[in-house]
Amino acid sequence: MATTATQTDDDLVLTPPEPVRAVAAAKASGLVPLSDEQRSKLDEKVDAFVEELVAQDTNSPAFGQKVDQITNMGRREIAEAAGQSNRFLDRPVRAMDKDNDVGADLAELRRTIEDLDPGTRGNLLAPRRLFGLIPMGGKLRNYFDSYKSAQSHIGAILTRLADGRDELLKDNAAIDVERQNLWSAMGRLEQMIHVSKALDARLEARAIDLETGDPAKAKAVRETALFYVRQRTTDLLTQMAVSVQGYLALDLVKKNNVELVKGVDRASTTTVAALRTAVTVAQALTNQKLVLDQITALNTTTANMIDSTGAMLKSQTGAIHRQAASSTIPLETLQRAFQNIYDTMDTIDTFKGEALAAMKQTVGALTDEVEKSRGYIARAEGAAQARLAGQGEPFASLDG
Amino acid sequence: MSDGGPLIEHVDALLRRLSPEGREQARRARQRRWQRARLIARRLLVAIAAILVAAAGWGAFVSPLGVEGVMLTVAAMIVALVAVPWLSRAPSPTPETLVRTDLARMPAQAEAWLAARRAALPRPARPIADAIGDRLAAIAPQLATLDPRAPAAAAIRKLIGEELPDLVSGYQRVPAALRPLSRNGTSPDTQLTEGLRTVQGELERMSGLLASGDLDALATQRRYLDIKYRDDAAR
Repeated sequence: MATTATQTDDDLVLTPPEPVRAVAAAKASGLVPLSDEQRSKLDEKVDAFVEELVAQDTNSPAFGQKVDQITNMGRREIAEAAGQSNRFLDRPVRAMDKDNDVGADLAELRRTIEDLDPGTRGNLLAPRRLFGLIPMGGKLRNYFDSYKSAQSHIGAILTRLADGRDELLKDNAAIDVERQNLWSAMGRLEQMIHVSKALDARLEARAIDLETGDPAKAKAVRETALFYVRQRTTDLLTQMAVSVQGYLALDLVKKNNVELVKGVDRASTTTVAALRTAVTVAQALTNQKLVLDQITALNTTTANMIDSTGAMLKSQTGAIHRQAASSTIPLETLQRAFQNIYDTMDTIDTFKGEALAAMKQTVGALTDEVEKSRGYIARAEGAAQARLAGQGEPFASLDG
Repeated sequence: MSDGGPLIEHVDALLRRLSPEGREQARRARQRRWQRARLIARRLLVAIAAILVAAAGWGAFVSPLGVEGVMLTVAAMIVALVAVPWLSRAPSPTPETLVRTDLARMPAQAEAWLAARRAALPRPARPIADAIGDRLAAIAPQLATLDPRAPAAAAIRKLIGEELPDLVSGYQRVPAALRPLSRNGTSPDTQLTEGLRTVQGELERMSGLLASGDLDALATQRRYLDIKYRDDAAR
C-alpha cells in the first residue's frame, strides 16, 4: 500500500506535561528521605542543645546566645536553596524562547515544503493521460526541477533544526545537573526541618516538665526559644515548598524538551523521507535522474544524529522503490509523504500551544511562591547581620 | 607576643620552615620577590636604553657630545640605577592600600600582609593564618577571571580586604599584656583565633562557590554527551 510507504511505525503523539501547581508549605517536608543514621545524629545534636539551653540561667547572656543560634538555624541552607530558586525561575522562561526558535525553523520548513507539495500543483497528474504521446511531460519535469533549487534551503533548515535539537538536549543536561544540586540542597533543608521539628517537640516537653519546678524558666523557654523555633520552622517549610515546586517545574521543562525533540526528530525524518520519495517517483514517472545532493548530506548529518531516522529510512527506501516502480499511483505516494510532514508539524503546533499554557501556569505559580519566600529570606538575612562574629552554627546540616 | 620562651619560639619557627605549608609559603614569597626583581630589571633596561638613544640622538643631530656629554650620559645612567629601584619599591600592603587593590592582586597582597603579621599572632592562631595564606593563594586564579561587579566579587573583597585586616588590626590594638587575659569568659587571643577560623571557613566556602559554576558546566557537558550519543531512553 502506498499509504504505508512513508508512514512511520508508530503515530507521533506529543503529550504536554501537566502544569506544576503550588506546593503547600505544610506538605513540603518529607519529600526528600532522611536516613535513620542522619536522623539519630541530628536528634543527638538537638538533645544536647536543649540540655545546654535549659541548664542556663534564663537571664544570662549565654541563654540569649543559645536563642540567637535558634533564630540563625538553617540560614545558610535557606540562602543556598533560595539562590537556586532564582535561577530555576528563569529556566522555563528561557525554555519558552528556545521553543520559539525551533518553532520558527519548523514554520520555515513548512513554507518551503508547501511550495514543493505536488498537491498544490493540481494538474501534475495531467501528463499521465498524455504519457504515451508526449513522454516526460514538461510540467512534471519542471516540478521535479524545483526540488533542485529548494534542496539547499531545506538542508539549511534541517541543519538549524538539528542545532536547535542539540540546544534542547543541552538544556536537559543542564536541568539534570540543576536538579541534582537542588535535590541535595533540599536534603539539607529537610535535615534542618527535622531539627526544628525535633527542637519544637523537645522544648515543648521540657517546658511542661519545668512547669511545676521552675515556672519562670518554663515561660522563658516557651516565649523565646519555642517561639523562634516555630518561626524558623515556617521559614524552612516555605523555602522547601518553593524548592520542591522548582524541582517539579524543572522536570516539566525537561519533559517539554523531550517531547519537542521527538517532534523535531520526526519533522526531519518525514522531510528527508519525502525528498527520497520524490527522487524515486521522479525516476519512475519521468525517467528523470533527480539528484538531490542534500539527501546524501542529510544521511550523513541528520540521520547519524537521529538514530531512528537512519533505521527507518533504511527500511523505507526499499519499500518506496518497489511501490514507486510498480504502483500505478506513485504521485499519491509522494502526496502521502508530504501529508506526513504536515501531520508532524500540526502535532508539534498543537503540543506547543498546550505546553506553553502549562508552562505559563507553572511560571506564574512559581513566581508567586518565590515572592512569598523572599520575605522570609529577608528576615533570615536580618538575623544573619545580627549574628555575632565567630559564633558557630550548632545545627549545620550533615554532608552527604 | 607569645607565652613561651625563646627556645619554644625557635623550635616553632623551625618546624614551620620544615613543614610542606611553610615551604610552599616560602616558595610563594620567593616568587613574589623574583617577580619584583624582574620588573625592576626591565625598567632599568628601558631607562638605560632611553638615555643611550637620547645621547646618540643628541650627538648625531644637535652637536657632538664631547667629554661633558659623555660624563652627563654616565651620570644620568647612575641616577637611573639608583632612582628606578627606589621609585618602583613595593610599598608593603596596608589595610588602606589593600582595600583599593584590584581583585586579581588582592589575595597575594593580603597574604603578604598577613605573613608580615604572623609573628605578632598568638601561637594557636598561626597555623590558621598559614592556612588562610594557602587558601588565598589557591583562590587567586579563580578571582583573576571573576567579573569585579559580580556579587561574589564584592563579598570576597569585603572579606579579605576589610574584615580580615580589621580583625587582625583590632587584635593588635589591644595591649600585648591584656591579650592572653580572660575577659567575659574569653580572651582576645581566643577571639582572634576563632575569628581567623571563621575567615578560613568562609574563604573555603567562597572558593567552592566560585568553582560551582565550572563544576556544573563540566557536569552538564558530560551529561549532554551522554544524552546525545549514549542513552536514548534518558532523553
